[in-house]
Amino acid sequence: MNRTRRSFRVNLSRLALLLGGVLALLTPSLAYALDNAEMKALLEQLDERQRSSGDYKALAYIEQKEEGKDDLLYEAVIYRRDGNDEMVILFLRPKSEAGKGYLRIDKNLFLYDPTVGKWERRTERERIGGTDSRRQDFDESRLAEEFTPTYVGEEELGKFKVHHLQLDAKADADVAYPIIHLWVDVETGNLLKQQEHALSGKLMRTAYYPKWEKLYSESKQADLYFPNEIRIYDEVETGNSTTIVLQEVDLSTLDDAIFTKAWLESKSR
Amino acid sequence: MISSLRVLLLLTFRSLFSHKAKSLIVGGIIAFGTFLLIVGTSLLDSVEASMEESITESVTGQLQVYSADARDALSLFGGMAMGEDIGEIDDFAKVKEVLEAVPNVKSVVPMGINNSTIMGGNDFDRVLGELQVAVDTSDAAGVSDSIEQLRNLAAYMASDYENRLAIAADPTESQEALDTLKTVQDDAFWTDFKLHPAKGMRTLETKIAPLSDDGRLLFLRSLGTDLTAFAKNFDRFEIIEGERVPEGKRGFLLNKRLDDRFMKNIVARGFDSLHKSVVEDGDKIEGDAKLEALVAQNVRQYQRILFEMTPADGRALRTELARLLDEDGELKELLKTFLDVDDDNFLERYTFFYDQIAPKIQLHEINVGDTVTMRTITSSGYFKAINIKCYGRFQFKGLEKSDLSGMFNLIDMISYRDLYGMMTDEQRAELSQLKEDVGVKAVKREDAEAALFGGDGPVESASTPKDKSHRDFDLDSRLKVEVQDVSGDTFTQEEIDHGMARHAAILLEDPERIDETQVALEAAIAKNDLNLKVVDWQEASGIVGQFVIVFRVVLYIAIAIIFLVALVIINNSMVMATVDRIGEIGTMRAIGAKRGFVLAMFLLETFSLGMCTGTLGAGAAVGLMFWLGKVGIPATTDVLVFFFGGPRLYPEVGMINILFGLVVIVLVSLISTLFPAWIATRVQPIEAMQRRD
Repeated sequence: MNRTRRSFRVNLSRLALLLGGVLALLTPSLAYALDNAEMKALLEQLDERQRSSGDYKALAYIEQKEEGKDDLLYEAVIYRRDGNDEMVILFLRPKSEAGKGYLRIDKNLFLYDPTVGKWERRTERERIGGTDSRRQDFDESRLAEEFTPTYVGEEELGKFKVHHLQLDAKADADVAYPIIHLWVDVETGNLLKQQEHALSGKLMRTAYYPKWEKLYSESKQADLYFPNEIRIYDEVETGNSTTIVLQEVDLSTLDDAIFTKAWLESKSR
Repeated sequence: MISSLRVLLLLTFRSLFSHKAKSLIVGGIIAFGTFLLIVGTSLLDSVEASMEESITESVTGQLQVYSADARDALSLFGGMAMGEDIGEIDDFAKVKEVLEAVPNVKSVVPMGINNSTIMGGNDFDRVLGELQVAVDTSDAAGVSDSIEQLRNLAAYMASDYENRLAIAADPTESQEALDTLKTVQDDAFWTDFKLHPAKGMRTLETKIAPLSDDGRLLFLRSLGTDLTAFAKNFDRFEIIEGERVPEGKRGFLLNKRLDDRFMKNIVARGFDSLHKSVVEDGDKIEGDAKLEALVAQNVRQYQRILFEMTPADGRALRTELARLLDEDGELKELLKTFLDVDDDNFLERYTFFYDQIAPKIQLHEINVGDTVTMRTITSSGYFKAINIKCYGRFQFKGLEKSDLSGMFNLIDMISYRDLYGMMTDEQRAELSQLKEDVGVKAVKREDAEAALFGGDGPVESASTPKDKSHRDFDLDSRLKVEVQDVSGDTFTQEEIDHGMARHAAILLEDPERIDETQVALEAAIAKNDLNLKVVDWQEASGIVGQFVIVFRVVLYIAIAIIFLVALVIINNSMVMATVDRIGEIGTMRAIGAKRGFVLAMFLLETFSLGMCTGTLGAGAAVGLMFWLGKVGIPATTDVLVFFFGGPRLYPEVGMINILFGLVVIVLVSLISTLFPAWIATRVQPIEAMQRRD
């Protein structure tokens, strides 16, 4: 009697295991895997949503936390003219940093420091103001142009269903990290999480984009998307993190003079 | 008693002379051991004393103090890269006041190490900078010169891209670069440039300059200090070019060794290395792979001369080179031929280089009188840059050729503090306010996904176009820039003293009394609650200071091994000699000699032999050390120059070394005699007599 019951139990647990296995095998196939064309379209959509055909201005707050050190904070204004591949980051606060700034023209990134009145050529992989944020975090998104995607699977991120993609940098792209993993919200198509890896595959940093805002752009004749908040966690120096908050986005036309060295210099005269 | 002693002595000496082989072997070992011990310890003591001078008279002083809260150890010659935490001395003035009151303390000098960079920019950027200045100052001649240089540079860059095009798998990038470079070769571009210089500059900066190689980034390691106190207290410090930084002014001094090794024109450095090998060391270039490679490298670096010359200087040099080489051609080809030196023409071309070429190029990245921009990341994490003038070049006397003495430049304390950038309470308050204004909540890494994506709120929200797309904020009212040009600042001694230092050097009136002074300093620090730790120069200098300890341990281990072998040999010889003398000992025992007498006889034999041959060994050692003390031991490498405190070590032998050698060797010999002596005391008269029968 006992033997029969045990064997029944065993059979039930085997059945449960079998069912579980079948379900596990079926689940990914039930999920909607994106093909190459769809992935490319998704990346282009991510880029396009953030691309401002006209001008763009925003107030940014950057906070860097490092273990055992005082927090590093900046308030800066970002100016972008994506059509001309131009960008300016001008630091406003704290007082000691006010007037310092970056000017990007094409693939050139220059740093200006009014305390010494000098410009310096920097690489595109620059850590902005010594924080863990990069030029790419403030600049137009160029994912489709700079990377080749591979589909990893559909996953869950908190309460959101997301597409998980792996991106590998194209040979001629000057990017901070050659391998990127993206988690894109299935419902809205917004980027929610991004992990950046070194060429060796080592995870370098994880970024979260919990809030996106869209704003109608007259020059683009479409919505412009921008993240309100970016949270970047350093995966090498664990315990270090950077938070970027973008506020007061403004799409009105900017003065041509802004994207010049002379303008940045004039702000501290 | 006296008669017993007399008999004992007579027997001892009779035995020593009657067993000549044994005495020679044992005596030889003792003499050699004594010689080795005295020479080894004397040399080490001399090296330690010289190194102590090198270190204490150039950077550390006899003692150093730094924060007791430091997480890392102070290590001036090993480590101390950016990020190491040796704490801070918040108010140096108080420390100075307390420590200078301690007896035997001559002075206390504030210090701190800074690592900065100086961006050299690429060649194109450098000439562009000159062009910008010429344009801004309406210097027509300067504009023409710079334009000619830029056109030359563009031509060389184009030839480089043509080479790349020939081997590139994907020619697109090289072809695009060539097309871009063609625009600068075109006269129309420069005609337009003269009409619209801003537009032209932008094209040159953003389209052409990125096609040049990456710029040179110079790393400068500087010791921030009270420069006047430093010059007064560190005897080996001497200015060899320019002047000291005037009191109360900002400025820095370049270390000549560091400058020559890393900041001199690379072709000049090649010539210097060849000069050292060929002229000073008497080596031949021909057949020496290393020197031939050095010549080949210099030939490849011809651009480092060509690109740093104005067109007028280039033309003048071409004429001079054509005369020297007795051939005609383009400057580039003449330079390559000139740099391809051999044993016959080296000296002539070396002289020509320094007479004719060096004045026309930037021989050093930084010249005395230049104001450079030092950039660093401060302790609070922000970028900091200062413009600072180089007043002169210095070296440490006797250590001119030592790389270890060339580890630091010197910078004034006020500029050092600026670069260190300790966060003030006012700055902390400002940052707190900024944080409050933005209202960002901290989210821990491990909780991030749940906190950011676990709620019910949507990730996407829309703003109405009218209220946001045209919203503006007044930049000028937000931007409050307070730029202060501090390069012309003057400051007082009080300002130097009343501020932060990372560590401080303590110089003593009598360096011999270092141990007792260290104890007194520790007591004064504890009494005044200064929270500092005191370390001697050896500990403060890091790995370099530990070398002597390592050498000493190695020497003692080697000597211990040698003595162990000696002990076995002496023991064996003595045992064999004892066995030979059983009959003699038995007879002595039969006629009334006690065991103690036999033991004393053996020990006295070894002691006498040890003293005689030990003294001979000591005499040889002293003789050798006197001779070395006169002629000196040459420092054959740069590191040895530092350890020897100069180009030669003149060792000395101290009475302590001699006594130590003799005592140790006699003790070892006596120990090795104990077993054979014990055997001898066990000999029974009857046994000895039976043997004789």
